Amino acid sequence: MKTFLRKIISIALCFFVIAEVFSRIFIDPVYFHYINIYNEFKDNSLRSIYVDNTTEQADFVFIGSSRIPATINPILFSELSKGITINAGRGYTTPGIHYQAIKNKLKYYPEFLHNAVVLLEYPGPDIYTSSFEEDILRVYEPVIETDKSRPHLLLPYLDLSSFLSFLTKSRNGISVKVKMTALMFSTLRACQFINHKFNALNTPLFKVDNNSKLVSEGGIRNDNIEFVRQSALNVAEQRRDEIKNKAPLSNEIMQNSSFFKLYEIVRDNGGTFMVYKMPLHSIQKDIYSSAKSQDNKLVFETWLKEKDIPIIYNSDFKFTDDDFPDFWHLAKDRRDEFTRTIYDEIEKVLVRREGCK
Amino acid sequence: MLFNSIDFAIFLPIVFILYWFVFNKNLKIQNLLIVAASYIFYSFWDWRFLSLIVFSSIVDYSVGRKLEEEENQLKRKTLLWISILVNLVFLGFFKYYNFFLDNFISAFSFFGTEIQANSLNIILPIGISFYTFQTLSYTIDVYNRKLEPTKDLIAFLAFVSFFPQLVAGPIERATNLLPQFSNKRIFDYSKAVDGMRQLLWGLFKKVVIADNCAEYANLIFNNSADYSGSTLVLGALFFTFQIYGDFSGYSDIAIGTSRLFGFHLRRNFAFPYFSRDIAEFWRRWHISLSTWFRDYLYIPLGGSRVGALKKVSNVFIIFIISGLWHGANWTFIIWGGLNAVYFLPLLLTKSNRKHIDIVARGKRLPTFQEFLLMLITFGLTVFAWIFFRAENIGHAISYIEAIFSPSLFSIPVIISYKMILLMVILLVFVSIEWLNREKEHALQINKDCPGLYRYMAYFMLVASIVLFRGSAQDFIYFQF
Repeated sequence: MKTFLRKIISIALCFFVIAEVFSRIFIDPVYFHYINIYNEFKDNSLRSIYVDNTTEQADFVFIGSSRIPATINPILFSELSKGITINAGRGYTTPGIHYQAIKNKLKYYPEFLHNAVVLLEYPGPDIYTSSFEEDILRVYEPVIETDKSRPHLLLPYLDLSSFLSFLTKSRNGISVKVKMTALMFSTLRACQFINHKFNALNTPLFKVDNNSKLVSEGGIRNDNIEFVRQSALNVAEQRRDEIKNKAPLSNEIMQNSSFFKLYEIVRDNGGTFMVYKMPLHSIQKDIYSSAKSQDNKLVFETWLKEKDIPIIYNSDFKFTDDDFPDFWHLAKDRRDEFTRTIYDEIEKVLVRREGCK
Repeated sequence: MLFNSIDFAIFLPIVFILYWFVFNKNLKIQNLLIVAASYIFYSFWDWRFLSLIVFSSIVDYSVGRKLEEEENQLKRKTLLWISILVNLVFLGFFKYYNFFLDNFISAFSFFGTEIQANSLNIILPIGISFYTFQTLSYTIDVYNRKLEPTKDLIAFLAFVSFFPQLVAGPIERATNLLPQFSNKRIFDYSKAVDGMRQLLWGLFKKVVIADNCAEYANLIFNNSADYSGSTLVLGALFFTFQIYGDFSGYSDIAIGTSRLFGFHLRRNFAFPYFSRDIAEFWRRWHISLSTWFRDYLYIPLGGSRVGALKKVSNVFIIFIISGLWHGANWTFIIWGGLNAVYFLPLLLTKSNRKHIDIVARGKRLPTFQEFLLMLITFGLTVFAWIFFRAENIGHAISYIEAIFSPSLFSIPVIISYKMILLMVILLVFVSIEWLNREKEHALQINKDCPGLYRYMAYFMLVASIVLFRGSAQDFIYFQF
């Protein structure tokens, strides 16, 4: 019996070692080691998402969800501003990913944020306001199942001590922690990647449709609009409940929030932090229509004022629900207009601040 | 708990280690561990329905004990009927209540009488058809004095709920499995290794063959109106392999797992798609169910030792009940009836036992005649599966009508590169099964096979399972 067990374990180990060596030698490690959302990407091909990081110093960095690539055209913004613009908005990203990514980036490029303007989207006063401890090391669980080509969004940004903190402090369940630990090995990432590619021979996860009214960047799905619309409705409902059940926003909460940590890391590294009002479909806007949300908004904006964090309102940009084909993202044909609007407003704010100085 | 889940990958080694290293000294405790493990295994689906298994087990255990003591034939018969009724009432309620109610209402409305009755929202407990038949075989065998009733309640509970085959068979006979719980199990290295191989092959059949075929079978069957006749033929073929990979894969995993624990379960599939006629197909497909019906229904009805008319009716009864066993839907009944129609000419011409041995034994290839017979039998089977898979009779008929349209001769819609790749995988799979058809299972490797080849086979299988697994689907037979 012991021989049997020994053999089973040996075979399993052999398989693992061969697979690990094979995947490390023969598969482009760029695909597996880290996802560099902090490098400008134009389309949604895997290669361009996983490319090596080359930007040493940025002038403008946009942070947030997949709504960022829908509203900001980084090429146009770079042309307008004559500066390097990084579009780091991506679906499924959490404050943890952005914070760890910036931390990681600064480790290798300490000047990355020097004199840079970092803009976080501001859909409502619930953006990144959960506590740092609670959010920063949390893996957004649905991504593990739904986005199998990128199963480890947070993982690549964690150094050993952060990873240990993830294991001990994160509110994720044991199965997620086990999976994330397993993902440290190239075998699982490679297997998951190849299996994903095999199944994607059938239905590509992100079918790039040039005729779509949606931008095809940053994880925006344009292959099944009905599904995405339904999920927008569901998430809106969920958000409303979350706001209802959470404690009212206060300065104390803001001081312990992921938002504050992001602000702090930008400020401490010579950058300017701003937030910009995100144009929203009425379904998304309604999330923030309750009295409690209005109170939260007041607290949030007062706190921003105290910290001297400007809000870019983009009030000149007019839109209707028709501009959001999937109820989530601004239509592709309005992106450049929005980019120009926000650029003008940012410039005004910067000139004003310069004048004050 | 699904065999193809992480849960099972953790559960199995834990139970294995406890079974052989911690509780190996005491048979009773080992059996108790099997009962506990089996109940945990079942609870992963829904713990509330464990009460059904426990109740059914206790009723049959008690009836068995009473049958042993009782000499009065009338009382013995009454006891037998108590067991049969209790089991069939559960099965009937959970599985057939809504079906019969709906048909009852439809029948009355056909004659102009409207009946108001609400169907119930009933959850079908998984495995109920399997364990009910297994426990019934015990009572019937005890009643017929073919089996001594057990006095060991734990062994009996373990027999009914034995986790490898609890939810989708093979349906074990008490005469085979129950005595194994009373004897000390000794670890047999070669059997355990063979069990692991069978388990691996079963997993491959389920995860690579069935799950990938399911994707296309579902796509084509669910949108059959949109596809050409030739594509619908492909859909039926994909379902044919899906159901085989799914169910025989489950049986292989169940048999292989049992072997790891020192149990021998009976074979449930013997390469059925290499059959030369329908009678042979039914001797090779879901053997444990076919033989159950043969022994407990067909033979008591008189079997084939009766007049021609009775013979015909017996065959129809068996096949239609077999169809109904699979599910409460007219499609299953038609599927059963169709198989009876296929089978009858063989029975009436006494050629139903013409092909007992495996095809082309000892040869690499079949003769042209054998090949033709296999092809015809396979074609008939594929045709019958259309009824099995269709949502309802209307769907099946429109599917078949669309197949036999001029578009049958058009080029099938190749949905993706994956479909082509899957066809290549299927070709390799059928070739492996063909080359190993004389063995118990396709991965039964001879001792003289060089180690390098063996390990390469294991590695390739594991790699295929990991890399080419389809989107996870439930085992089809769970719903039966």
